[in-house]
Parts: sequence; structure tokens; C-alpha cells
Amino acid sequence: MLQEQSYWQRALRRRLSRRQALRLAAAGGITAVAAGSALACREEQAVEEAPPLVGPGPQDTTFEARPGGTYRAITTQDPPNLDPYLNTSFVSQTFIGGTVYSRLAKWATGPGIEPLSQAVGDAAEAWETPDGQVWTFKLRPNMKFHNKPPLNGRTLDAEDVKTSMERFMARSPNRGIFQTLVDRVEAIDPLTVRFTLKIPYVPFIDLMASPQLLWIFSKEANAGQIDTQKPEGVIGTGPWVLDKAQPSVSWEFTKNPEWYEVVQTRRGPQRLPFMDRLEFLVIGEYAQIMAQFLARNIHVFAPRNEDLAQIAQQVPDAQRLPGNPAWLLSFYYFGDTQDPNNLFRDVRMRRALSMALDRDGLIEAFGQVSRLKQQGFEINTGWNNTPIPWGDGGMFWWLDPKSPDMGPAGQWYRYDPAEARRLLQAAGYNNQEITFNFTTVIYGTTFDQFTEAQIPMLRNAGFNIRPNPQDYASQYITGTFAGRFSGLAYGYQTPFTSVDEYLFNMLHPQGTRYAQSRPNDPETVRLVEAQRVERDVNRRRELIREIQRRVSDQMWYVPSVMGRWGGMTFWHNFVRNWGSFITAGYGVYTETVTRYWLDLPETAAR
Amino acid sequence: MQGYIVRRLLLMVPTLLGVTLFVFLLTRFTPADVVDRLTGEVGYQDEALKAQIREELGLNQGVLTQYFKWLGGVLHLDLGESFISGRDIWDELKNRVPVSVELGALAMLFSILFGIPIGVISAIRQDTWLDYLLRGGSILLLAVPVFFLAISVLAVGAWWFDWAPPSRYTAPWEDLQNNLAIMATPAIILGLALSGAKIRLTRTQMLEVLRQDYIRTAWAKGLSERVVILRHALRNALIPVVTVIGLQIPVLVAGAVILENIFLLPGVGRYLVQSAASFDYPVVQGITLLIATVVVLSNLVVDLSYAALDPRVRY
Amino acid sequence: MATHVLEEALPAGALPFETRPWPVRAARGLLWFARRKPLGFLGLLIILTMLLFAAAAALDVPARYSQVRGGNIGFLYPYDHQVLRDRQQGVSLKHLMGTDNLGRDTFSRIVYGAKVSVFIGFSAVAISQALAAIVGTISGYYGGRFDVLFQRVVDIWQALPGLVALIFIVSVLGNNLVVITVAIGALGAAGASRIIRGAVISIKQNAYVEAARVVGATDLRILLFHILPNVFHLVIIGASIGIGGAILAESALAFLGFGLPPPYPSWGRMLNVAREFLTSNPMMAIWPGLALTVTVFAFNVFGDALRDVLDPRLRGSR
Repeated sequence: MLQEQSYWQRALRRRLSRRQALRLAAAGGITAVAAGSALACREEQAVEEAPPLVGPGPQDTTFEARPGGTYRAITTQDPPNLDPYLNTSFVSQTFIGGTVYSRLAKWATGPGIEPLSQAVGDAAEAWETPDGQVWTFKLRPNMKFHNKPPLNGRTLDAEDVKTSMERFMARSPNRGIFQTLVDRVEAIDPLTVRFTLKIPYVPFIDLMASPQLLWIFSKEANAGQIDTQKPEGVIGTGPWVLDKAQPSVSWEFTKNPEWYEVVQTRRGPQRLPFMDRLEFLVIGEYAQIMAQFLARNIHVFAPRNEDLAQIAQQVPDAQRLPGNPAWLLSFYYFGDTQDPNNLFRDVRMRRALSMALDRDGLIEAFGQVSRLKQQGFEINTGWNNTPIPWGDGGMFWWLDPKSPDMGPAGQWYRYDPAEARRLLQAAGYNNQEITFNFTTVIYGTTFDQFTEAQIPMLRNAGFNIRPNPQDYASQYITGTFAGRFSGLAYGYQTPFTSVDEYLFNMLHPQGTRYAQSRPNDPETVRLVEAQRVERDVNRRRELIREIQRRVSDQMWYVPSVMGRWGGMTFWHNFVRNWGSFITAGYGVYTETVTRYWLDLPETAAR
Repeated sequence: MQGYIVRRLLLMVPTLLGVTLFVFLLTRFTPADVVDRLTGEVGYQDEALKAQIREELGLNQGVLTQYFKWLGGVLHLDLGESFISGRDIWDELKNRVPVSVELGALAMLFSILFGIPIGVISAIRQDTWLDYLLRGGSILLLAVPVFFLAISVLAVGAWWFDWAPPSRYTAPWEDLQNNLAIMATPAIILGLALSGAKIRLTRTQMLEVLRQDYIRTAWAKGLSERVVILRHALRNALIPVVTVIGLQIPVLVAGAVILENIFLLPGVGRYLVQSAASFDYPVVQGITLLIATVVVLSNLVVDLSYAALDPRVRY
Repeated sequence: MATHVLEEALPAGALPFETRPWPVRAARGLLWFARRKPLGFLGLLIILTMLLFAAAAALDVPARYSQVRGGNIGFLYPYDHQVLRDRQQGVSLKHLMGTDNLGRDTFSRIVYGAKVSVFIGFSAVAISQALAAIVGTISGYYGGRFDVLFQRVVDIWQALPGLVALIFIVSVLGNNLVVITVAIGALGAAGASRIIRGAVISIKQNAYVEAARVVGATDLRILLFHILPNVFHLVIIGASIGIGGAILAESALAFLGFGLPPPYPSWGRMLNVAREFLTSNPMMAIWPGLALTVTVFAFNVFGDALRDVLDPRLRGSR
């Protein structure tokens, strides 16, 4: 076990040194390969000689971990509902779903693992599918519910999974994808569940690992005998047990002493989570969050990029890790582009819109990228392709619009208002007023600002737009988002969890978001259908890249770049293990925080 | 007197009924549907689910049926369950009311202790530079938006003084020191906002009273300034100030709504803002009823205290 | 009557005004006001500046100018004139109040924001005072069952707690200009109607009202020609003080996220956005905050001065 540990450390070191080497190479003009190997050698030596690593930094220090302590973070709002089936808010999913409940699978984290790339077992230990249509899950034996009445630590069985799926299908607003896919669920024996799908669907396991869908409740909860909306009814099999619910003050959890994951440490095998308690303070005011981090009342903070330098200066010993944004598409859509009266029926109009957007300028203004670079912070950025956005969770499928792989379609991403004007002229546009529909408030002030910042760009490229801010519930989501509008619309796409949902829903006539633009291209439809049944992952990726090229050429949906800049997360200097177990999305408290530990006197004493 | 109180209390009933009916009708005839909000981007097309949720929330019944059902509940102190969290509203309010009351009481206390002496000083030193300064300051206090003051305090505190208010609210009986520490800043800010009107009113009333005959008599008797001002003048000058205290209850409520959000207090105002933003109608109905009751009661108390303080007033 | 009240308040040497041309009269009146009520006069000046801003915004002066001359005025820009490169700049001749996070000129946005504040302030108050005058005079004049009914409605109205009701109404009916203005206006009417009712009841007792009735004047005539002119000063005073309150109410709404949607700037929304930049660029919050404070201050002191001048009971007091 010791050997394995140092192997991981070395692997991680290598990964880091590659990053450092790239930075050096960029600065000094030497080739990355040469510098990388030299650095790697030196560092490997250091690892062999130095005592085991404990200290600030992104290393995997699991072996040195000491249990105990309380981890404090924030949530900007209370979970709207304590039952993650009943509310789609990320707050319910992250802070209740992702702490208290298990899924069948979860995303693997660890040194060298790309976030959200590998599904591993959570409540299920293993699964198999002969054809992508019938999926059999073997549950982890002896998986126990939290020790609270009325379940009192009873063991999880297949019936729990089956009834959870049934209740999810009956009640969750997120059920759409399962309604189109799942035919039936059966409990074969206490530890075996079988899902039979309507069609072969290879990425089904990704859905099971998604922290927005199938959280596993007890059959008692699913039968309504436990009120899952009350704090005392929040009983799952996940790593954290809800201990104290104080709305608008804090949400506090203790560790589940029976959670299944066990790791080797210097003191012998140790059950995760390492930390005893997890506390979320409810703080909505940004200036307050920052003040509380500076006062060390919270241990982790992801500041606005404007404040990075200041934080690094005020808390010089804070550890930091660059992170990517979540997978989310902000885009323009056009309603019924098959309608002859729709101005955007003409592909030149849509291409002109794309060329009107100064994507890099927007990312720079909101993400502060180059200023941060001068201050020594590396921030990742990327452009969304269409319909596949850039961000953690979708990096593997995403095709960089700037890359030569895009072929000729890449030209429509160029920022060129003069060319956009020419395209508008060629399309016969003579300054008719175009209604620009969007919604405000619900997506936050940054989103609203971002929308606002694009309006002058569209005008500058010759679009005569009339901004039409809409009320979210009564106008936007029920009208515009459903494709019933005239003119132009801008907003977020639903935060889908799998690549197929983006492709099928937006491009296939049977997809649920098809009405947003009604793209009309049989070849795209054929490709979308083909990728659904392709079992070879690389071939599937090639199909998906081809779709991105085709859709980019036609610009049925014009991708914008809202939020497509990375940020930096800060931890106070006693938090360990945050850097080598990286995940994204709502499962973070199961997938990575269980492995954090606190290098504090209070944990050393034990 | 008793007859008067009874009459006033009876009059409260139609008033509060009117308030609830108004609020209720507004929520039910709005263009925005809470169900669309609940299903959001993911489930907006799921009409079957929407119908089901509507039924669960009781929104499929007639509006008047819904209203009387709700009213029936209110009579049993049952404000129903939140549309969003599914939890009992009364349970939630029980924890939140003391927070807002404490904030309001501390702010009011501060504004009285701060505003009235300044008003008195301003009156005694009428037409001196001190008077001008204090008067200008009091008008400024009326003009500065509470939220601007609050975020300025936060920013200045964090950047120049390394100061942050406590991060976690505790009830006074759990940890009094922390409780006062987290309450102090918002209470002072709100108190400042409330004292503008008090300073001005105290000043004018003092000036008026100081011109009265009995004050002249008091001076003539050779009483000290202290005695004249405090015992003879102030007592009578304060009667209208008491009215203002009562009339300021809505200002207090508005200030609390804003400050609870900024200073992490788990009060009623914060609950209201988050509920209004998510169309949580039963919660908004409950809170409006609660606050309307407080407003109406405070008006009654003002009138009664008038009678208690001023021997000329009798009901 | 209102005009009489004004004349009586004037120093004897200033009369007779009527014999001089009106600009001279107006100038003299202003001068008198400035000497008598310096603070109120300062308020008036600020209000006039703000009206000027609002007019410039309403006519979209910067945009028109740039169309005519093919360039910018130099320190005033269209509200959405954004140069992403020039964001978060400090005060300069080019940007009198610096720029915001999108490289837009803060001063210009304050100027455009004045339009929103002026519009909401004046129209909300017009609504509330008109409502108050109607309800107050009718209720006070007719009395009896009418009065009881009206007063119960006013009770309900007054029991609706200001900002709370406002948040609620706007979140339910939508955050557009009409809803916000009407809601602020309607909510402000209850208190004002009580004051007017009280005044009407006392005026009703006057001999000339009785005389008019004896001569056979209709109720409408009495209301319009005898009662209303005598409570008109109350309406003016209420309005001048109410405008500040209405502007504050709009900005509080915007600050809590229930205000007008982008892209048109309003001071409250500028403050709301600035909240997230408090730590990196506090000036983004300071300018709109100051604009709000100064404007409300101006309306308050002007209203005070106006009350002192117009209200017969307060004449002579300071």
C-alpha cells in the first residue's frame, strides 16, 4: 500500500510538473517536451528523498490523513426543498442530494482522472449490459441507511432503488429523459436491479452517475411514510447525515460512520469521510462571503476573478486551485426557422449574428483573463461549440471552435462586425426591427450583465434590435423557451447532464428542445441517431464532432460564451487533499469532500 | 376607554380580512404561475406533471374555496405549508419572528436614545451652527438609502478595518454576546434611518413647548435648565414623538427586509424576499397578514399611549 | 386659496407683483425663496439639475449629437456605449465618474438613470396625490356612510406594509415600469388621503362653503371651486415630500432584485450590480448611492421649505 501511495504521488507530481513546464515554456521559449522531462526527473528525485508529503498544496495526502474536524463552506441560499426529486434547484441537488443520498454510480475522482469522465459504483457495486438496452446493477451489500428513525440503519435493497425510480418518474420535473428511455425497472433479488430500456442507450450509466437524477430513497420514503421535505425525514445512504437544519443560518451534517469507502492511511484503514462535520453557512451577500473567508469563518471560497489578487495578498498562505465552469450552454435561438416569414430562416442572418459576438472580448471583460495572467493567475477559458458547450463534464465531446478540426465552419466564429453587416445586406435585411427576447433576475446578476453587454454588439453589427426583457415564469419559460416567439431569443439551455441530451433534444425533430430553432437537416438527424447506438467511444466522439461542424456551419443555434471562463478556488492552508480529487457539479460532497482532511491541532490530538 | 379598545379591536377584523383577500386575489389572478416556476427549464413541457403539482398545491380548486380554506386554517393558527419547501409556515415563522422583533426593538431603542437627545440639543441651541449641523444631518439620514449605508459599512469594514460581522446568528438565550455582535450593526444602521424623523419632530415640539407659559413660569421660579428641559418641557414635547414611533413601524419592517438579507439574520424579512422571488404564495400571504396585524395593532397602541401621556385626551 | 396664502406670506415690500412682467416676478420670487429658505433653494437647484439630466436622457442627447456631428460630446455617452477594454476606470475628464465593469461611462448612466427616477418619482406621486385628493375630499365632504366605507378601505390600504406589499405586487404582476410606478403610487395614497380628509372636514365648516350651498351651488361646484383649492397646498406639499420616498422605494426594489430589467439603467439597479464589485471597485456603488442620497435629500429639503411657505399654520415658524 505504501508503494502504491508513492506511485500516485509521483504520477501527480508528473502531472503538475507538466503544467509548470508548459508555463515555463511559454515564458522562456524553450520546448515543452525538453523542459518537461528535465523538470520531471528532478522532481521525481525529490519525491524519493523527501519525507512523506504533508503541507499546503494540491498533493494527494490521503496516506497522511487524520480524521476529525469541521469543514465550513457556504451556500448562497437555503435548499428550496429538502427532497431533490421535488425541486430542480442546484442547491437542493448539491447540498441535500449530494450529501445525504447515494446514486447507483458516481464520478470517479483521483490523481490524473479527468473530472466527470469515469463512472464508478456508488450504491451499485457493478453493472453489466449485453446490448445497451438491458442494464443489470449489483448493489453494494451492507449499504446502510443513516441511523435515524424509522429506518434505524436498515440495509439498502433493490426494492428501494425500484421504488425510487418509480417515484422519480411520477414526480420529478427532471423525469423527461427517463420517460423517453426507460421501459421498466425490476428488483430481481435483494441486491440486483434491472433496467430495461426502450432503445439501446449506451450512455445510460452516465445518467445513473448524474447528480441531478436518480437519488436513492428508502421504500418507506417513496411510499410517503417518511416526509422527505422535513429535516427529520432526510434519511439516505450517503456519506453525510443531516444533523441540524437552521434555515437562513446554517445546514450542518455529521459524517456517516457506516459509509462504504475505506482508504489506507498511516494509521491503518480509515473509513471516509475523514472529517467529522460539514457545515454550510447561508450567506447570499458576496461582500459578506469574502469577509467571512478573510476572517477564517469559512474554509473555502471561490471569489470573483476581480478579487483574486486581493485575496491572495490578504491571505498569503491560502491554497488555490484553478477550476473550470460547469457544462452549460448560453445560446441564441430563432424560433421556427422553417417559417418563411422568419428573418433567421436565412443562414446568412444566423452567421452574421455569430460574427457580431466578440467572444474573447466578453470573456476578457467578465473573466479578467489577461489582467490575471499578469498577476500570475492562469485562468482557463473556452468557447462553446453548438450545441456542445465547453466546461467540466463535456470536455471530451466538445470540439474547440478555434481548432483547425472545425474545417470551414470555424470561420463563422470569427468576430467581424463588418463582415456581419455584409452578410446582413446579402441576406436582404433592411433594418427591420427585431425583438430580442431574454429573461432577467432568475439566472443572477452576472447573466443579466452578460446579456446587457451583448446588446451593443448586435447593434454594432447592424441588427436593429428591440430588447424585450421577459418575466421568467409567465413569459419566458412558457413562451419563448418553448419556441413560441418572433425575432431572436437568448438564454441558457437546460443544464443537461449527458451529451446525447444536447444533441437529441436540440437537433432531432422528436427532441424536447427542437422547437427552439427547428433546424432542418436530415443528415444531422441521421448523425444524431447514429451516435446514440455507437458503442465505440472514439467513433462516437467522431460522430459528435461531425455534428458540431455541421451545426456550426448552419448556426441553427448560435452559441454565446456566458460563464466560459475559469475561476480560482481558495482553501485556507490547513485543508488537505482538495487538489487531487477534482470533480464538478452537484456531486462534489460525495465525490471529493469525503476525502478532504484538516491539518489542524484538533485533529492531531486524536 | 374599554369600550373604545373593544371597538378598535373589532374594527381590526374587517381590515385584516380585507388585506388577506387583496393579497389572495392578487396571487390567484397573476399572469405568473408558480407551477411554471417549479418545473423550470427542465419540465416546462410536462403538462401532466404540472397538472399533478397544481392538484397537490390545491391550485385546481376555485379561488374562493382556496381562500376560505386558507382562512379556516388561519383561525387555527395554521398558515398552511410552503409551496416551495413543503414545510409548515407557522413553524418557520416561530423561529424567525423573534429575530425580526429583536432587530426592530434594538433599532427603535437606538433611534430613541440617539434621536431624542439630539433633537433636544438642536432645539436648545436653536439657530447656532450646531443646530444647523444636526438638522442637516437629520435630513441626510432621511435621504440615505438604508441599503447603501449597509453595503458601505460592509465594504469599509472589510477593506480598511479587517472587520466582518459574525458569520452565524445565534438566539440571545444561546449566546448573548454573539447575538448582540451580529445584531449591532444592522440595528444601528436601521436606528440611524429611523432617527432622522425623530430628531426633527423632537426639535419642533421642543421649540413649541419652550414657548409655552408654564415653561416661562418654570424659568421664573429659578429652576435649573436641566429641570426645566427634562422634567417640564421634554415630557410634553414627547407626546407627538410617540406617535411617530408607531407610524414608523412600516419603515422598520422595510428596513428589516433589506438589512436581514445583508447581515445574515434569519428573520421574517429574509423569508419574505426569498418567498416572493419564488412565488411562494402561502408564505407571502402569511407574512403579509402577520405584518399587517402588527401595523394595525401598533396604530392602536399609539392612540392609547396618546391618552395615557396627554391628560387632555380621553376616549 | 392657494395663491392668497402665498401672497400673504410674502414681505410687504415685494407687493404688488402683478404689475411687473412675469419673468421679473418669478426671479424676485426665487430670490426671496433663496434668502428665506437657503436649504430649500439648494434642494430646488439639485432638483432642477436632475430634471435637466432626465430631459437630456429623454431626448437621448448623446446619441443624437453623435449622429449629427459624427462623434461624442466628450463626457456624455449613450447609456449602452460600452468599450470593454476601458472597464473599471477611475475618474477622468473623459469619464467624470469613471467607468463600470463593462467599460460604460458611469456619469452618463447616472444621467440616464435620472430619467427613470424622475419618471417614477413624479408619476407615482401624481397617482398617489390624485387618488388621495379624490378619496380624501369625497370622504371628508360627504361624510356619513360614504366616509365609513372609504375609511375602512383606507384602513386596509394602510395596513399593507409598504415595501413588503411592493415586493409582493411586483413579483406577482411583473417588474415593468407601469406596474412599479402604479404600485408605488397607489400604496402612497392612503396616508395622504387621511391628511386631506381631515383638512376637508374643517374647511367644510367654513361660512363661505355654507354660503355657497345656500346660493344653490351643486356639490361638484363646491368641491371644485371651494374645497379643492383650499387643500391644494396639502397636495403640493405631500407630492414634494413623496417624490423622494417614491424614488427610494424604486431603488430599494431594484436593490433587492425586483426592479426594472436591463438594459436601461436605473440607480437602484446600478447599486445592485455594484454589490458584487464592492471589493474590487467600490466607486461603482458610491456614485449611484450618492446620486440617490442627494436627490432624495433635495426633495426632502425642498418639500420642507415649501411646507413652511405654503402651510398657513406653519407660517412664521422655521
